[in-house]
Amino acid sequence: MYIIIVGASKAGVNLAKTLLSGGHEVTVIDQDKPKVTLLSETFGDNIMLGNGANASVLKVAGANRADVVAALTGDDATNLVICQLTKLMFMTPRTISRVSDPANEEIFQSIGVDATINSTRILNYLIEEQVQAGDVVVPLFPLKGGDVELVQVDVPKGSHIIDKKIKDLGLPEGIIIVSIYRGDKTLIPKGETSFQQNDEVIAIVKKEHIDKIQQMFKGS
Amino acid sequence: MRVVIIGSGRLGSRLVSVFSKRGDSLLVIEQNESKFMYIEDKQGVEFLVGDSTDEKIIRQALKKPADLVLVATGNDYTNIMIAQKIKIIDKTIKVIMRLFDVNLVTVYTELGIEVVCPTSLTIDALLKMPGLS
Repeated sequence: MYIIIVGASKAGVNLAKTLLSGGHEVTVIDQDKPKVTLLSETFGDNIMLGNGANASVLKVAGANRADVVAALTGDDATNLVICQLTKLMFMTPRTISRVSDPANEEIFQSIGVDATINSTRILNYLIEEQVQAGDVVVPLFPLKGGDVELVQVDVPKGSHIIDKKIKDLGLPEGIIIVSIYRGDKTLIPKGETSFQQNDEVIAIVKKEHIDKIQQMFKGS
Repeated sequence: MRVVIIGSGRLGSRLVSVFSKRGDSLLVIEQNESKFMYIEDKQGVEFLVGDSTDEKIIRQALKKPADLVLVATGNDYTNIMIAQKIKIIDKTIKVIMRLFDVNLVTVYTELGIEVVCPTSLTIDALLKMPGLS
């Protein structure tokens, strides 16, 4: 497939890389000259300088044979015009627009944009999903080697571990409690330290123990 | 006639003078309040400060039914988004927008929005000048 991406944002650049490694033909268009110069070291002929909402620029980019045009600039109005222009002038089969204002999503789809991507909505969705699943363990980042993670666990209402001392928890070897954020202070815990509701606990956990720590901290 | 003018730059501010001389009732929307100072005769003109790409602002502006909306911000893409949002809110209202890019004029005329293009008008005027025709 041939895909034109307008806007060399982080999203645009990463999408281009993924598509290129998947064997697709890609052109990225951006009007920021220093950015394009820098990226041309990686992308060579796959990146082009110009205003991607301009018909002449799109023509040079080969919009008439593009299967997909993705408008990923930071400006909703520009993205809308890119999609409508390519649809009407170049008969692009599929147009995708990034949308910053969630209110624009529905409107864009009603006036000819095939798909919209809204990072705000995606984030909301992911967070909601987390909350619904009842997960209390939030991965912060994987440590080198990959099978150990730094995680945050909150102590919810009714949790089994409230008022319990760390030394009495019977923690397996693969779990270390690193710090407890309580009120406005971060505590470095000892064996005698006990937990309270709403504590935000940072721990180093072996991946195989993530379920275990989840069970231990769970609310009622 | 009630006219809503969006954008109070070089074009919008002149439009206000012309339409208020005709005795029309006017509302001007502009995001940057300091641009209202381009308007020479403010008497009887209503002002609304806000982002016209925001549906809430458009609805507020159209509370009193308008006969004509002139979309005249300095940015083609912004004008296009505003004009289409107005059409979604009220299909029957007459909307005219200013676009500089001739290629976009073709696209949006096809989509049923009325357009005035200074680029084409300048070319036409030039070609009519003595020695050029």
